[in-house]
Amino acid sequence: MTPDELYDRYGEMMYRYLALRLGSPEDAEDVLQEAFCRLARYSARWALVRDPKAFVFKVLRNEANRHLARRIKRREGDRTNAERNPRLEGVVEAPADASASLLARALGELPDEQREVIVLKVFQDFSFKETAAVCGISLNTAASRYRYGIEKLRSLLEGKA
Amino acid sequence: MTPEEERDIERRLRSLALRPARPGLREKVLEAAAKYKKEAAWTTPRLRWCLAGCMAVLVVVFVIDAGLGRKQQSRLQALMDGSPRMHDRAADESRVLAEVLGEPVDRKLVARNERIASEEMRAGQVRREKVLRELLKEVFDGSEGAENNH
Repeated sequence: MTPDELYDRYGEMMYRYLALRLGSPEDAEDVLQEAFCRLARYSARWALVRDPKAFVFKVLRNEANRHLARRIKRREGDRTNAERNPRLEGVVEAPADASASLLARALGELPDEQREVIVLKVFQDFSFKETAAVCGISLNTAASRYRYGIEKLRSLLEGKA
Repeated sequence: MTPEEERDIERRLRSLALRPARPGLREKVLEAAAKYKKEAAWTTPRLRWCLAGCMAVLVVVFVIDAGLGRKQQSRLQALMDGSPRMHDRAADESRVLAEVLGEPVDRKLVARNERIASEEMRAGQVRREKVLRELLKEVFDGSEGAENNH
């Protein structure tokens, strides 16, 4: 698969995943570029990859994690949860109503591991099996993180509504 | 939380419209990836050709060496049969011949005799008489021929 084909097939999905995980369109672009550089380096062995989607998202996830680690290191002095969690209002189109805006904010306030599973499941249409493979966790862990995340979203929405 | 509530949250999440990637991102990303790949490659096309040439030369050298080694080994085996005992037995024939003739035998004939005897013995066909007979015949025929030529 050439980088062009790779981008046409997964580029948009990858960008959405990164935007929702990092909460910044600029960071998402940078990390997407880094991930593509890594994938381009592997293009000669692409035929060996059995599940391209899982492989691409695993590379992407690792790159996003590296970026987040660098970001946390840069902001080492400032350890407030609000700073560490992304503000998703920047990556979501201007919500039509207040509840959508609240939902975007609540999604940003979720713990990273729960938000990641929800992003993969809801926004990328990944199955639990695919999500587990990408995140390197068991199927049960993926399902329970998703459930806890949804539960927390509901309570955040109800608490703020 | 009931499944309905879970589905409701899912539906609301799906209704969130995400901002699309800015135009030109595809070109920027692919250009960067192509540049990175080019820079990351430690070989140039010229170096790749050189490496391929070296590999071909190495393969040819190995093949020739193996062939020569095999040939040399078979020659040694034919002469010595790898066993001093065989060689001694072959040399006996020459000694016998020299005794019979009462004079030293031509070295070329001795070597030939040794080789023939060695090969026959190795093949399990120990026919010393036959070898000796043939050798004698050759010695006398050869000397007769030489005399005739004079």
